Amino acid sequence: MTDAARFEAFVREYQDMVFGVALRLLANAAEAEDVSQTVFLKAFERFSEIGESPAAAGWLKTVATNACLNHLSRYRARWRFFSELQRDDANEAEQLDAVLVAAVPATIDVDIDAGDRQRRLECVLQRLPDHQRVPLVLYHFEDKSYQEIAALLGISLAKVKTDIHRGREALRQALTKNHGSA
Amino acid sequence: MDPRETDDVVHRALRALPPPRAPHTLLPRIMAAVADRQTADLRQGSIGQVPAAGQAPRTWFAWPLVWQAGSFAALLLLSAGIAWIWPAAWNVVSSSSALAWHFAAPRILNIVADASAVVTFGSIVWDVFFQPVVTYLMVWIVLMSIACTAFGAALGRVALGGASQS
Repeated sequence: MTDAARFEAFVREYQDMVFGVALRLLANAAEAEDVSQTVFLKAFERFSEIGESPAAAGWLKTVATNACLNHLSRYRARWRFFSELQRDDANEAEQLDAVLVAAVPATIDVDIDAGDRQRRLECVLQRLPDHQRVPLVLYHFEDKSYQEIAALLGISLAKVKTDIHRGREALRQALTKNHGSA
Repeated sequence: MDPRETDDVVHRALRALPPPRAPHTLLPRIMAAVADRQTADLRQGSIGQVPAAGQAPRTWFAWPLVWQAGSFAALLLLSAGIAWIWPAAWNVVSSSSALAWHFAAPRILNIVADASAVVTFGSIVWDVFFQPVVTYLMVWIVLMSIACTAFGAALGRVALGGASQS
């Protein structure tokens, strides 16, 4: 098997995982594709070391997470600064309602099966603001502790807890609505 | 609902979500990017690469004996030709330059005089108008540069998240 074929098999094996990490953190499919490409290019540079390594998955996850956080802090800071200038906590509650309303399909009165519930949950998760979604994803999907998240994001432990709590509340409300209507 | 219960419910619900699948365009895109990278690396490598033995430029000492003798004869012929033609060429050049200098000298002197007048005028203007304020002007320029740098750094840090520095 040539190197190219081996690397193609490697990408085929891990692309869902890397793309999944990127999509959940960035909540944007196009940006997740860009980051995934960057991650696999880095993997290609070190393919002789990680190609056959059992730690490849962990390495890819770490690189993908760091690349996403880097992407968020660099490329989104520009618009986030201007869009969040007027954001405060009261405003945030309204936004949360808007997220939930937007995530609820028009056919809410009809029975919703598990697939629909999962789609709605995914939708609510993706519509959460970055500062709530990112720590939430790191905590629940990447199994990071509060301290690790605070260190990764460069914010205080209290802010991590607050943001995760608010994100969880939004998701819980979505779940409760689903259960209530089902 | 108890916060711990909320945590558990949400955690279980999130963990039950199906993992996102990569779009089918991702693999070809990555492989194309890898191929581009390999091509670029090869191109970069060929610039700094030491040429292979067969491609190395051959020095005069490595030439065949016939070529060496021929090139030596050509060099001798060229030297003899230059030695034979040199006195005549030197005569032509010296006579032409003397003639040219005869016509050009007055013009050059005029130009030098004009340039000298312009320099004198410039130095008078400098002494009268600019010399008194140049210190203040320099201080003002330095202060403005510092202020602009500080503002740019603050904007880059606060608004752009350091993106402008990358």
